[in-house]
Amino acid sequence: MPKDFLLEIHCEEIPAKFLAPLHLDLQEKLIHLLEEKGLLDRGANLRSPDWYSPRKLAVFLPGISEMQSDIQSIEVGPSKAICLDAQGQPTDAGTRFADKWKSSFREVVFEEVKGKKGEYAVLRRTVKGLPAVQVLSEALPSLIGSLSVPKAMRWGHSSFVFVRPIRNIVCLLGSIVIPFKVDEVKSSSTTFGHRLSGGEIKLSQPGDYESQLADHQVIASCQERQTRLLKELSAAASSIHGTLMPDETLLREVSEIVEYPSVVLGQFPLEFLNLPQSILICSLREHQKSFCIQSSDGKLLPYFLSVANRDLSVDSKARETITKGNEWVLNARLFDAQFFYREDTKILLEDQRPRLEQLTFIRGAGNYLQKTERLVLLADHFASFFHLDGLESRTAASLSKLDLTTQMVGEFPELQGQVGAEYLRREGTGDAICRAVEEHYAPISADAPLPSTSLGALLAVVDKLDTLVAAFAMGQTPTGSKDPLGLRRAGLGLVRILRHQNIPLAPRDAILQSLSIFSEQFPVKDVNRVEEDLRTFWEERIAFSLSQEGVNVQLVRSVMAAPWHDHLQLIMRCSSLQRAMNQNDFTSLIENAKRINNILVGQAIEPMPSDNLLTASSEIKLLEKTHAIDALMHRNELDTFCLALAELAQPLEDFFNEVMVLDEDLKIRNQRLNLLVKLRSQFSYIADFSKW
Amino acid sequence: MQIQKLILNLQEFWSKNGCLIGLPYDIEKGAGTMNPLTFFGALGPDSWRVAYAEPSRRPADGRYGDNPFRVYKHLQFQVLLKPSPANVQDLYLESLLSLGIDLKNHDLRFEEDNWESPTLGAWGVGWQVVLDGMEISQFTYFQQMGGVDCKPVSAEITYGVERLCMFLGGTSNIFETTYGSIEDSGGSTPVSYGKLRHREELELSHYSFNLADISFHRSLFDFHEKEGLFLLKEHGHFISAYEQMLKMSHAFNVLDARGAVSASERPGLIKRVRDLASGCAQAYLLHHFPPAAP
Repeated sequence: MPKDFLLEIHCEEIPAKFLAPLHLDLQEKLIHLLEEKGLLDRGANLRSPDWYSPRKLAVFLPGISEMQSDIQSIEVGPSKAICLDAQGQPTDAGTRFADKWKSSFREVVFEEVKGKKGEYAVLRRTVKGLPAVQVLSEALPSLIGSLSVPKAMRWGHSSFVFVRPIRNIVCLLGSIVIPFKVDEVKSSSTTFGHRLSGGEIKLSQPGDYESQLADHQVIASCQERQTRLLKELSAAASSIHGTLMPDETLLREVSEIVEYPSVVLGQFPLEFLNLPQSILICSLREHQKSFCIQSSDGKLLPYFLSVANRDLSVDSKARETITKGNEWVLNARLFDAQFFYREDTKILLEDQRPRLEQLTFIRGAGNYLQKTERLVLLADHFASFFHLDGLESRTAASLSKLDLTTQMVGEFPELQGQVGAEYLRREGTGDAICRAVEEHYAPISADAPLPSTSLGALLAVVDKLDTLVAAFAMGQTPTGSKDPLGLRRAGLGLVRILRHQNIPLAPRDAILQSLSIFSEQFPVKDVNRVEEDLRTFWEERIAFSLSQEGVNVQLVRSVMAAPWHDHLQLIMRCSSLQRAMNQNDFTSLIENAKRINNILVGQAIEPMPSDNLLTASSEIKLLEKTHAIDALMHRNELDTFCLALAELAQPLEDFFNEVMVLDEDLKIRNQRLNLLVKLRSQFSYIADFSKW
Repeated sequence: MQIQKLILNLQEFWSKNGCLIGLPYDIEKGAGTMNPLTFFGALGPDSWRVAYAEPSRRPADGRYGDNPFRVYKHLQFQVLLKPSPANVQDLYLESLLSLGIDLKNHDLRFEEDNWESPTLGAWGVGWQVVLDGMEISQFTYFQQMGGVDCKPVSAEITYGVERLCMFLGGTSNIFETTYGSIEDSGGSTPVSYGKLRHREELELSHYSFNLADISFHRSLFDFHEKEGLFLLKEHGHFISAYEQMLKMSHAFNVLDARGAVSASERPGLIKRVRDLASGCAQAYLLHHFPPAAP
């Protein structure tokens, strides 16, 4: 009878961001182990429920066998000549082989073995399956030790490392405990509920886990906690005639840091509504992990929603204390924010400029005053690409980093840009510049919003370009999973913005321009190498961005391997080719394009104006096609061009079937080679298929 | 709750739970961890448990006594348990009860917050403990101290004394909290934190932001380094050298608050402090736990 399996690792509080990946890793490794040990039906599509919380990682898998089945095993030994002596009696080597498998020599047979010549000693034996409990209790400690933990720690005398100290382990197969030890912690059937009110839980079988935990103030499923939380938050917001300001990220995070969510509604003094809204929201969400409530016209209301980690449904006294506590803390935070706001706005932002010199940009690449000087030059240079006025662009660039000197950004680094915009607006700076300063850090992640104005886009582009150039010039490029300066994100942002704004900027030109400005301040030894490295990096971002949009990866690679100017051109080529490929089969065309490349390798080809020796019907057909394609290339009609390529497939196939390119007649050979050269150059108008 | 009462309760609780009750170390420092009872206590294989209150000076946090939440100098209550016991979190929760915090009425979370001190060459992983939305303690499993791996690992608990008092009393100005009371024939007179410390905050803020002599502090930094290295290298003295390191660290903090440390210069200065701290850690281990003769 198959049984339910449960493994729960109970720890001290695991950081929210590690929970989901760790749970997935545990689940995958368990399924792999069960499969490998023959305890699971192969091909079964198994998935554990998402039972994880700050203190628990639990995997539940139904249908696990109690016994491994017996396995028929074939062992191959030395050759017949080695196993038997001249009289046909077993040699030492022969008996040793039998002994090794705890069998008698009588059971050894001699047969031909695949991949070897002659007859070899062969033993067929039945390996008895072991009980699952035994197999798993041996394998689980090292499985738990092999979980991938990004920031591992030790505790007490342990030499074991894990994300946080392991304090208890439950492991059940049906009602049987699978016994093992991990760093002095013994597995059992007993676990613990909520830290403050849960107490001990004795599990009699895996299936009871979720309901037993719920009885002890822990909601096992993260999704379930999130659903409940959202419902409670919305209800609390409506109770004061407001609506919850949506915040997916915070909702997810809070669901991961509580075991039993309860929503607490608090208030803050009206005077704080005078603070810029972005600062208020940031204080609430970043520092207090609280949700905001807005009125129907989108204005913040002087309320907030905090999430407590316990059941408060019947406990009004605790609710009152917790609400008061949260109000007190938020009050202190907002007071601080107000203090910074007042201090900062006592002087003009421009007067803070000298302090930019105190702020290091990238190690070896000076400070933010120097960076600002470069940004002004870059903005001036690239303004025309964005159809912008040079003066306004220079002004915006010169103001863009000033807020880094403010106390507010010192306290709320995530508000960089927004604080600058807020303060500049107060000082009467024009709206376009304020908005550009505000949005020049965008996009802050791979799918975050892009700058909405072209001035914002220009600032964002020159800022990222300069950061990339400085980092590459200083040799601080990303390696493996390490990208402390966020260069990949910056590169991808750059690519997305240029595309969104339709800016035909060639990576090489942009990099060289930025490098020349950079090297005025800091000598760059090997400009060409930096340019090449950064261009490759940039191209990888483009390829990544296109593949994110669903363009075939090989298609992107082939299109990028042909000469191109800027990535607007690339994108158009990719989409045209993708459209053509969706409608036509390019397999044989690609194969033959590769073949053409191979044939042309190392051939000395004389350019030959005439094609009078091409007489076979297939080569004449092919020749005609190339003329037609030439005409299309002149008209720059990509879609039609791609379809014409598709129509080349059959003639090309016929050509290779009918003629021998490397004809003995050197003149014919040369004309055919010229035809292939022509084809190759036509392909490269859109892609280098040999890279497919 | 009065500040002195909070300290007394914590001392009593942790002494009952097997800790020595230590004293603040009489040299300026930026964090309670820098008290030798913790720095050296966390090193080496022997068991160690200690608890003490420690004033912590952060010149850049000075607000001239104008800010109700931030101060140049605040009090930390430190606990170090080596090796970290399996019930360390439960012990901590019990200690809250000794402060009159009945967790039945509160919300408590351990939120990820890892600790690192580049000047001490130390780092650990742990949490900030959040009570009803307020960060009341820092909880750290030391992984390295003075550049040396901690074996076994200690648990360090740091209570922010003033914050905790303000929070428990619902006070919204640090200077209005009550430090303690003087009792005499005239009765009981409460003494506020402000009465004790407000002028000190004002003067020390002025000093570190405006008045401190920059070149004097630069030479202090250099001299203490030289002295420390001399004590360590020539005599193998790690306690007196460690004191020089503490003085270097404070001189650095004053220079920093004074705006005299440029960003590019900063890592270099921090490294010089760290090198002395690491040297002290190694000399301490060599002295107390010499490697067995081959």
